[in-house]
Amino acid sequence: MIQFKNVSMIYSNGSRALTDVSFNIENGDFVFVVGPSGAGKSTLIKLLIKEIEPSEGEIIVAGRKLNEMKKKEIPYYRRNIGVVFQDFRLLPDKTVYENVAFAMEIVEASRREIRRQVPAILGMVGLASKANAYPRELSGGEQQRVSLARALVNNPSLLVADEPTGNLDPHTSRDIMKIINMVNHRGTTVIMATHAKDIVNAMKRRVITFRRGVLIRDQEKGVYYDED
Amino acid sequence: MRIRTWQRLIKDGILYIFRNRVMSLASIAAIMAALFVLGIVLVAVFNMNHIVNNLGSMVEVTFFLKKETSYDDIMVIKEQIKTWPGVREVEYISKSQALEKMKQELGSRLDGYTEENNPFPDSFNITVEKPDDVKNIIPRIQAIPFTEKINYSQVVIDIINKITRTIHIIGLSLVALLALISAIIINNTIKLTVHSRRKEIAIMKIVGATDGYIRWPFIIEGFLLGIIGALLSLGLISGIYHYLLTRTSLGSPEGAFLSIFQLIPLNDFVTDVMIIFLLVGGVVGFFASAISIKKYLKV
Repeated sequence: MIQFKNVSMIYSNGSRALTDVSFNIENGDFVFVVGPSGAGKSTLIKLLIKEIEPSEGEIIVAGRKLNEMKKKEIPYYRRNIGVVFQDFRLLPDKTVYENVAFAMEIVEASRREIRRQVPAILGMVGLASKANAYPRELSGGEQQRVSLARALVNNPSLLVADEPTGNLDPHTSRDIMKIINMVNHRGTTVIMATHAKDIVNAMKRRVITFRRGVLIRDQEKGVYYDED
Repeated sequence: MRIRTWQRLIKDGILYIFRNRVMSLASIAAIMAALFVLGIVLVAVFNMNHIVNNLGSMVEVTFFLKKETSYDDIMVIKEQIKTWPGVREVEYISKSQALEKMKQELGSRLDGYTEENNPFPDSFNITVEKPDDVKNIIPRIQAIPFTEKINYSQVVIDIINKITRTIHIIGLSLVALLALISAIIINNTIKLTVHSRRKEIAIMKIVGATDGYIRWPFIIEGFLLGIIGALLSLGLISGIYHYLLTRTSLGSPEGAFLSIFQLIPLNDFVTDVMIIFLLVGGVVGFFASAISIKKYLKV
């Protein structure tokens, strides 16, 4: 599903974010990407959704080489990926319903599909009653659930989460993880960057550990070591 | 894109205006203020032009007819002159009328003259539409076999022409300058509204919206903000002008300043002002958002 081949990333200001990173992720996998701040987790996510281009190496997602993808194709590529961020990134002028519907509108879904699908996904994340609220009226956990609903509404084959629980308390974090876990069980590949040690250790999934841009450990049913 | 997508984009454009109430109101107010100043200049220029154009009626061509010209011929000539282009009015002054008039002006010095030994010829007074019409009219007068002598002042024509041209140039430059300033202000205003939403644009890109899909609601929003500002400004200008016309003496001939400074009716220029406003407001709003959003789409 995802292949990183000798990927290095040096930003234009000269700072080195990733050095010679290679790994494979299979369809349906659940992978944690861990490491302290500055380890290169966010860079990895940005590379995956083609927000930035690697300085060296090759990234292949679902059989497509990202390096060779044209600028015009990027939006269509991103529609197959659900993305969730630490800071939720919801559209402030749109209601919960409209935020989720937006993801369907851009793929030119019909009104009927939207009316069927959006309430269903909002029900799944437990926000059916908040459909008409604006993001600012919601708690952090609720906003992240909206963000998840938006990421999932088009049934992406890949869910990418960048510190999705970073702004949430432990209880709320567990709720979010339950949803992500459920989505993975339905077959969606999940990549989640985090430094929430408790979550990683509780889930017992594959863990890829970075330190200063270098992949230092890749374990099945791994744990988050303190020294990392 | 499909029709339903266009419907969504237009709906979103309108929705953004209402959802961003504070920003929208601020933008509309700024656009309104910019166009209001432009409007005042436009109104002043339209009025000035009107006054200047009336100066043309101050140019008169008088020509005298040979003594033997018959009354019938004179009437034929008069009808002919009326058909010439550029002629505003033709006045026939018979020799007896001329004598009467001169007697009133000069009094007893003309006491010896009567209809029998009237020294004055028959004459025509022609007023023109604009001073330049004189040069087309002169050869036509010369071509009349009964013409004895033509009187007109080239100096007056030249002065009036100069005044007219200067006023027109000043007016046009002022309008152009103010239109440019308004355009710059509107452009900056719209830029700010787009800038304030740069995060949203980035979010839309992450979710996989195409540039076109992101762009159009903003362009529609910018266009509508420009149009709304233009219409409100037009309403304000018209209202104030209407007040000046009806509630002050500036609109009536009696109250007109120096008897020539009488405000022209609102209807004479309101369409022109509206067109200029909608062009400046709408077109600038449209392109300002189209151009400024480009920067934020490069994420």
